[in-house]
Amino acid sequence: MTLAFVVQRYGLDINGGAELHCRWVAEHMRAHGPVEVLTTCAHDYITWADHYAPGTETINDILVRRFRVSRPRDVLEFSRIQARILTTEHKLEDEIAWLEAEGPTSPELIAYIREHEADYDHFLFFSYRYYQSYWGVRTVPRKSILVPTAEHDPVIHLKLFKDLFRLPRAFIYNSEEERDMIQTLSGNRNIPGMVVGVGTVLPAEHSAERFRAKHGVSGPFILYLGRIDANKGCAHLFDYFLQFKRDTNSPVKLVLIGATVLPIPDHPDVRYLGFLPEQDKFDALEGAELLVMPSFYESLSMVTLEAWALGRPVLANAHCDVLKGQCRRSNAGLTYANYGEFRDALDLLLGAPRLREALGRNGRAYFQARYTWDIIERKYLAVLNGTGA
Amino acid sequence: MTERPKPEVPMDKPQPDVRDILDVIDVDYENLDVSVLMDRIQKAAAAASAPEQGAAAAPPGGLPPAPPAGPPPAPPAPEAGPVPSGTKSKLQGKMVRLLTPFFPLMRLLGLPLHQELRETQQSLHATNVRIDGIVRELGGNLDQARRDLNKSQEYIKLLHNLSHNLILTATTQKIELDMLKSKVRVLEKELEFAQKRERALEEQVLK
Repeated sequence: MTLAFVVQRYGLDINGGAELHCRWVAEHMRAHGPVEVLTTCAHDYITWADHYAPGTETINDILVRRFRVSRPRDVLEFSRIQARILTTEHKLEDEIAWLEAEGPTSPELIAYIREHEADYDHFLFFSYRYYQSYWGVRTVPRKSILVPTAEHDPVIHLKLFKDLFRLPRAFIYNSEEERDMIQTLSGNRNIPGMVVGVGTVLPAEHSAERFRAKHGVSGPFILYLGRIDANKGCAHLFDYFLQFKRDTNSPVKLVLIGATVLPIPDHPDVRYLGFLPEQDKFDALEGAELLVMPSFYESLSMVTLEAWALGRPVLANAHCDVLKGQCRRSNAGLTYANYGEFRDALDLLLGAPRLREALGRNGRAYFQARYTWDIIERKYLAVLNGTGA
Repeated sequence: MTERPKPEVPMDKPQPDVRDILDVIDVDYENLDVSVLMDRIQKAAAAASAPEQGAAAAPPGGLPPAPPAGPPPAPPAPEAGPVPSGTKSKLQGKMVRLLTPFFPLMRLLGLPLHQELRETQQSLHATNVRIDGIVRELGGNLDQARRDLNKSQEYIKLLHNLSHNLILTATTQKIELDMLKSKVRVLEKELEFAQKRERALEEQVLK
């Protein structure tokens, strides 16, 4: 069984959610047969300009075929087209033009898929909204498996995606909420699909003391992991946290780890540590009272799963269906929809160690039952062999 | 439940009105259910925000606290008694005479009308603060709110059409029901007649 993983960009230094998800799955599925990755030469997800050399290379024992991007994204043109198709009546051709403007446009990649269809048993397309998935699935519909990694994004309502969601042979969803959303939008209940998600690799050991000593963090702290961006709900998080400090006089700190595109509030109890290695991330999780996830849109929050894997409770944004659903299914996290709920939920979690412990225990059990790599691989194999869903 | 450690607060900082959430929300550890817990938190948050909304409290760093209720004390009226002796008493007497024309204005300021004005002003200020808060809250989601509003308008239009069609269908059904009832009454009469005829014919045959 030869598998082709098709994704918009690929590399060890690429940490985007869907791309990392694809790499991890590809590396684990290597144990079950030959695996190749078909991708572009792009590295930057804003411009998609060619960065890597076209041709083949091997990354972690996986053959990666890279194809040129025919033209980098014109950001202004893309914004103009997107604003138009989201706000006015338009034709399917306009949506195709939007897809081309979004990029990464790589006709060479699609031509390769068409010419080498017979060389592969299955094509796994990651991220529904990009050029390679739309045209790739249309090129090899009978061999295609789509991993949509979809969020509540306005573009998901476009007509071209409604058609796309009716084409693949099977789906691999990240969550029940994602499956329900896609099935409701496209009416594709007849196409087999399974909720799988992604596993994570935990380091052999993790130490809160090491983290505290290395980064000079003392006292209780709550942790945010990921890109610090208004789109991820961080602006709300800052407002809510500072208001919480004023209202409760709690000694708790907010520790932020990840790249930032948002100004960090100048407050002694808000600590920004920048982008840190994986080991530090797990050490921080080990020391944190809880993980806070303020994001409004998530397809599957990997850091939430990692927090649960380490037995840490989660405080998540209730406006995100996926996070809310995960917290309720796992019985391992609380959610908030406004400041009052944030204050009370955080106050409750910080004031009741027994509750944190119980939620963390539930989270660990949920992770063990659904997200260890042997379970993920088994589910992928079931979908590939047509026995899933 | 383990008791929470008391937070260390600098003495010069103003103490906020801290309520202990553990007294408000009861956690059932035997049957821990996040949904139930969330419902309780939502209720507690709603209950806590209700008095906050009602009160015209000043925001942190905003206006000074409101004065105590009740009319402010009126300025003392000029005393009619003899002027006390000494330089101090003479000065006091002159001051009283100088201020005498202003006593009506000072009394007016002391009346409940002034207090009412101040309360209204405070209430308006609190409303402004809340509106500012809502605008800040909406800031990032304004486009989303506008889209939701448009969507709601479309839903309302569809619901209006649906109601119209339902009324039409209900009216048609009512007419049809009345017609069917009439038919049933006719059939009953015909059946009754047929039974009578049957009995008459049977009698004739048996004769």
